[in-house]
Amino acid sequence: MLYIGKKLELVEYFRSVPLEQKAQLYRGIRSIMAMLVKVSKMTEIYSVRDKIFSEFTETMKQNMDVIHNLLPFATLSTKKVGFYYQERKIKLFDEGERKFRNIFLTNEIRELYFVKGITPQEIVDFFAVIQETLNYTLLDYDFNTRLWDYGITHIGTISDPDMGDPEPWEESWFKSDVATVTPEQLFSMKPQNVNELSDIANEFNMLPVVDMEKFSKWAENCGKDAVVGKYLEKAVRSVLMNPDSDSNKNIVGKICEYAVKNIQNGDFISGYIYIDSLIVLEKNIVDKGGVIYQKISEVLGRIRSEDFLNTVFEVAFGISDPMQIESFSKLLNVISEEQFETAFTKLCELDNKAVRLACLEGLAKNLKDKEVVQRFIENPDWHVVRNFLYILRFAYNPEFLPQVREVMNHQVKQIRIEAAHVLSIYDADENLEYWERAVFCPDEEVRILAVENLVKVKDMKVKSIFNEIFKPANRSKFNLTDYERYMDRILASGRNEFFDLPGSMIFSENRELRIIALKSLNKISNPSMVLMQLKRRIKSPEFLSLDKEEIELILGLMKGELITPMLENLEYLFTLHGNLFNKNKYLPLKQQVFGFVMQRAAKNMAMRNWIEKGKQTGDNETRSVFEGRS
Amino acid sequence: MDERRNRPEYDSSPKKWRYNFSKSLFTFWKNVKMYGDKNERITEEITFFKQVLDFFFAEKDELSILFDGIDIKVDKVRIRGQRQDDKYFEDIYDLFLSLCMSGITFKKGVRDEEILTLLGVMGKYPVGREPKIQAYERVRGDLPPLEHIEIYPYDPEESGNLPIYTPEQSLRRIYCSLARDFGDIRKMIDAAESIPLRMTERRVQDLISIVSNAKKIETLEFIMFLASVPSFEGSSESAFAVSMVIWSVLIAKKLKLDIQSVKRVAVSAYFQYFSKDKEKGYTALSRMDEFNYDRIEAALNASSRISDFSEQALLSDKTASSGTVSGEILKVAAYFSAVTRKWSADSFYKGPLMTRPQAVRSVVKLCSKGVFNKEISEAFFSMAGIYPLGSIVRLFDGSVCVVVKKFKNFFENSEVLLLDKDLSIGERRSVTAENVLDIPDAAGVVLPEKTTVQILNTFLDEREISNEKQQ
Repeated sequence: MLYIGKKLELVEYFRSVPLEQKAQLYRGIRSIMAMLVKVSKMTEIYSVRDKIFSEFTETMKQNMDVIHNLLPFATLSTKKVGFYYQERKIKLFDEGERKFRNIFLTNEIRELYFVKGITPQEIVDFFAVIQETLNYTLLDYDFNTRLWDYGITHIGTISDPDMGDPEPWEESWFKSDVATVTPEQLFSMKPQNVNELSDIANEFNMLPVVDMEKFSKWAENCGKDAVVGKYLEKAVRSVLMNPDSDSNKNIVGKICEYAVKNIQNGDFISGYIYIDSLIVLEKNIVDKGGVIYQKISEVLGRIRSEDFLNTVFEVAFGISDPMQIESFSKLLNVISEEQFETAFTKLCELDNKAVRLACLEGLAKNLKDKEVVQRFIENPDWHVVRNFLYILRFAYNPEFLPQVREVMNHQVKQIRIEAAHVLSIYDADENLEYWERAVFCPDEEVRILAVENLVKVKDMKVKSIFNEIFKPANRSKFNLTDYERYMDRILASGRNEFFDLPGSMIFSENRELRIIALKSLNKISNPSMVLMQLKRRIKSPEFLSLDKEEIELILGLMKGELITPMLENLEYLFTLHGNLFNKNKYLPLKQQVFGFVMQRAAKNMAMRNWIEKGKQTGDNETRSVFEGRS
Repeated sequence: MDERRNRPEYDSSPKKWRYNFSKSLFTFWKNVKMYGDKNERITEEITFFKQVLDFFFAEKDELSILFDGIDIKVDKVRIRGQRQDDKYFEDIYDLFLSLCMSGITFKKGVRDEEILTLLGVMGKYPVGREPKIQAYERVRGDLPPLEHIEIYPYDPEESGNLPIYTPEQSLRRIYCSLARDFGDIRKMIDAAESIPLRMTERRVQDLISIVSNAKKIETLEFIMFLASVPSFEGSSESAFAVSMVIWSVLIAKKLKLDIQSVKRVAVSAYFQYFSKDKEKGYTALSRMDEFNYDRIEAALNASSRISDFSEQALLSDKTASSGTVSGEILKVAAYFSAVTRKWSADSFYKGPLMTRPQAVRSVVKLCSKGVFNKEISEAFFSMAGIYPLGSIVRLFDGSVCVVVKKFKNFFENSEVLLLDKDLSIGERRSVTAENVLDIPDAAGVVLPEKTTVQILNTFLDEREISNEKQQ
């Protein structure tokens, strides 16, 4: 898509540069052209996505770089009798040269440019343009149009429409089908009233404020797919009304062709839109014996075939756009209705994880057979089992449960984890015994899943399982992060019957466990269920000797309905003082607690009252803290 | 094999006849070369050749076949090797190259003897030689004066070495080609032929590249002025179609749509309101070789019936593409381009007429009523300004002028071209919008062709003007 101004610049530059290293440049251009001829022949056999083209791309890039080190632009002329570089014919002894040159002749191309900065992607896209123009000449493909479509900016052409002697504007071109105005008429026309100008200025204030972000989202949803969708809706309606008309037969033929072609070209979004219409047509055509029905069934049959599946996986190799992945997944869904096992096996081989997972999820809809489950669960390759278990995450069917339970204790960690995920979609009560065991599983992820499921279990036996986890004897089996996560899960469950556990943990002899419990309590918005324990903790003699961090965490729980009771229980600090030898023993504690309350007092009446009370009833030390003197 | 071109509906397709002409010329020449000009097949050949010529002579006075070193052009249209049996193209190239000829023109009234004489001389010399001017001179020397046939020499030095257009010259070519093609394409749609989208696509792509890379604001102003041209070669409809393309590109670019979407909107803008019959566009679609998004949308738009092109239909939500980005952009572009244009009595638009400033305000008002999308209207307004380019306005001192630069708001200066008493262009003056008055009666007014050309020339830079004067 070289801009015309740039083309002009290139030509002028090229004509003004003395080509001192002509021979070297000639050889470089010749090797590029020889390679392009070779590439053009290969494109007749292979898709440009084939790995065979990677090597060509690399060599081509190297050759380009060598040339561009001498000159920023390389240009060659295309004539009826051959390619020319600086009036010297490029001799290529390859029978494909004529066919390749024909692309340029039939596309009116006079010169071909390679501009410095060419990227490997542009080279691959350039190969695709060659393939399309060379192999689809019967279609309406055009070299320049396709170069533009691919957004190739470092390879460009000068062709007939870019060139010519400038023709001045001719008056006859602007002849009108209505009478032109005469000077008398125009000069006698009255202008608008001057006073209207102020009204007009105000009208422009009516322009609404725009939200480009919102617009972009809307544009994304209503873009090209929406247009094609609208068209296909119209086409489907028309075909269903009159399946025998020639134009409808043609249209169905095109829909079939483009369903297949788009997929083959790796455009799953477009391909799926067409396939979806074919499925609608297949379901709704009344005369099942008609030509159109046969055509649609044949194409859908082809799409669902193993051969096509192989093609689909070849082109899906490099997709990364989430929308493409979604459409690819939908497509696999259609194919896997009849080819579930093959589709699944191919997916297991796919390296692209994002695509693989998205598609496995899509496949779940078509998994109905218990025997298939049994077969894949027993597969000796753990990768296969794990991928299959991933499907089971999205294929809820209690009939599959025995097979999942079977692998809960599999020797491969990844399988155990995946099985735990699958088990999580089923009723936790029914799998209590598995979760009970899983809590002590060596895999961290499984243990977390076990706790997540146990908090859902209605049976109160689960409480004893939690107690077991936190028993001092079992501490060595878990690390501190585990405990923190368990605590979080238990608190997140919102089940009051479990809350005495974190409540009691704040009295633990182990400081780390106390901190973990307090941290978890701090994460929830309303920790009121541990009020009793908190009150006891605050009034306990140990509170006075806790370190700053722990006190900060306890004070952090002073929110909502806990504010007043906690403040009341902290009032004893107003008159608390040290002994004769260490009068200021509790000053740091007071400073921390009072400071905490003072910081928040501006927004809380109860705290302000509490401070006032402290000033009135507190000892000198208390007052000095409140008044900022110490 | 049942070739599509042999079906009755293609009987009057110029494309088919152009192919027929090149093929007929070739077989005729070969026949004469191999068997001389007195063999029994000559009558058959000449009858068919004359039949082909008569097809073109029904509308034209002459028909040419030209070779520029790269392509063969019949009736100024390039012939591409697309048919199964078109191997003879290579031979035609060789024939022209060997005789160092760049073309032959047949004029209305051409006689059988003249054609036979020409082919007899052409058949005398061997093919497959390097082009040398002596070869042409030999042919010229052997030919007696022919009243209805002309031949031209081919200059190998000149071939392929034409100057490259500047962006402005390129814009002119794009504009003229799009406007000229309009009538031909409409005929094709009505004849249920497939839509020849490739050339439209190519022109639209070039236009988008120029808009995207425009380094000078004047280039964009030139484009906007082109969008205001009321009629081209006697057709308001073709000028309207190009105006739609220009406005849709400008709006879509302003909205920062991706370049493919800009192209899609612009291509489909061109095809809106092409058809007299709703099913024609749909049928044309079924005949398309390529079936991509642009083409589908273009065909959908081509199936918007011309009779639906009324003010109510323009503003309604029931068009084929309403609710889509392109549909909403086209709605603004079509409304503005239609209401500011005076249409001939037999034309399809019968709605109200407005001046350009009135139309901009109308878009603003309709946008606040929810008829137009607000982001699209804002993009349109930010391009068009208060007095869009091409508006005919009056200054407080009574002078009448044409707006040639955008008026962003009421306070900043912009430029107008004063019109002299004979409507030729005068001084270029810088004014603010608060000193400019709209002329309500000038809605749809068409300036004389001479004035339009003078204004258009002001958008070319000095180098281009001097270049063109030399021409």
